Amino acid sequence: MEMNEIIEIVEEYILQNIGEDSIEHDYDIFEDGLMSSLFTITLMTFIEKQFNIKVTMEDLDIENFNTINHISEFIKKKLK
Amino acid sequence: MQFKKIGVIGAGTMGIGLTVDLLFHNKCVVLVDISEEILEKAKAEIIKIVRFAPLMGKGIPTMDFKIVDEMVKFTTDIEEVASCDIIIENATEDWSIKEGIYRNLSEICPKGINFVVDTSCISITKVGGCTDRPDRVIGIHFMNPVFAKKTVEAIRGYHTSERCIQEANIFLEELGKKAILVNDYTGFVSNRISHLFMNEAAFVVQDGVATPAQVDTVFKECFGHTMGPLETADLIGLDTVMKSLEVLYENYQDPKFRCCPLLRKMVDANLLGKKTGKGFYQY
Repeated sequence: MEMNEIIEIVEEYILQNIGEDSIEHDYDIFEDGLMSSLFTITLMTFIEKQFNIKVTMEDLDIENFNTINHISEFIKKKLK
Repeated sequence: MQFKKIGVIGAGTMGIGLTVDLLFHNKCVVLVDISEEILEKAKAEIIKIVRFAPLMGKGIPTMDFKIVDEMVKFTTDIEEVASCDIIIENATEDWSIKEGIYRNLSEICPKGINFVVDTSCISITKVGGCTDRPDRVIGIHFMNPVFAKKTVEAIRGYHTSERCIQEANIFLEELGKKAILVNDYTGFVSNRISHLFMNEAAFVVQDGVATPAQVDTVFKECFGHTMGPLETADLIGLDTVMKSLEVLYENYQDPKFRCCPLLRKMVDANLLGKKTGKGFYQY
């Protein structure tokens, strides 16, 4: 899967959940309470199901999942 | 550690969160519900939370999810809680169901075991009255998500003893929590006030004053709330909110607790919030 395709899917999911029309891809979605920290659990489930990948204990660093770019890079790495 | 094995009755939202928190604090759990299907769903949810909750920070430990099989007994047989050190009941907010459970527990559990009623509205004194040990019945209203909230509302029933309160405090300390102890009137503090708030928010939407997102944004951005009233309702479950309003209305006979027709309609349509994927918001 190409990176821009991954970014598009991730962005659509994030926007649906924050109820906004657009967001910077480097914006920290957990800063300023835009997303509750509880959303991390829902986000992981989405990532695993949508992209058929497994998030391991070693992957559990919030830096992997706090921006659209970071999430997409993480997914791309897992798909290799 | 005084409380090693905990009986949790009810594998819904609160039972799941409680089980996760107990695991995070190295306690064994016997989780009881009425059907294997409910227990299977609960197990999947517990595993998901155990795997990913550490991302939330807040000092949540990283654990191999295999611990769920090792430390949680999922069962439809309530008698399996007979060897537990304390019982926490989180069944649906329905008096006839709760009454049956407590009469059962009175027969199953040794005399010195405390019963913790995790209810949002039902009288602790009333629960105590249908057990063989009203002095050992205490309410503890855990907040959602259980593993992330350090404070609980504890409710002293009319007959709840000081010993029961002390032991409950020890149990809560083992979970890294503290209790605000209040007296027993329907809804206590949190639900009596919060349900008025959520219900009125639903009326505001019903009357076309604002959309759910607008209502929630007002409270988040103008008042600094972490979550708005309608997001909170979706998280709790609109059926649970509705039942709690009915209990409040029945007990106080005050029309301020009458359930918003929009809420009732959404429950009738099975739009219950997060648990069904749609409520005031889509999930």
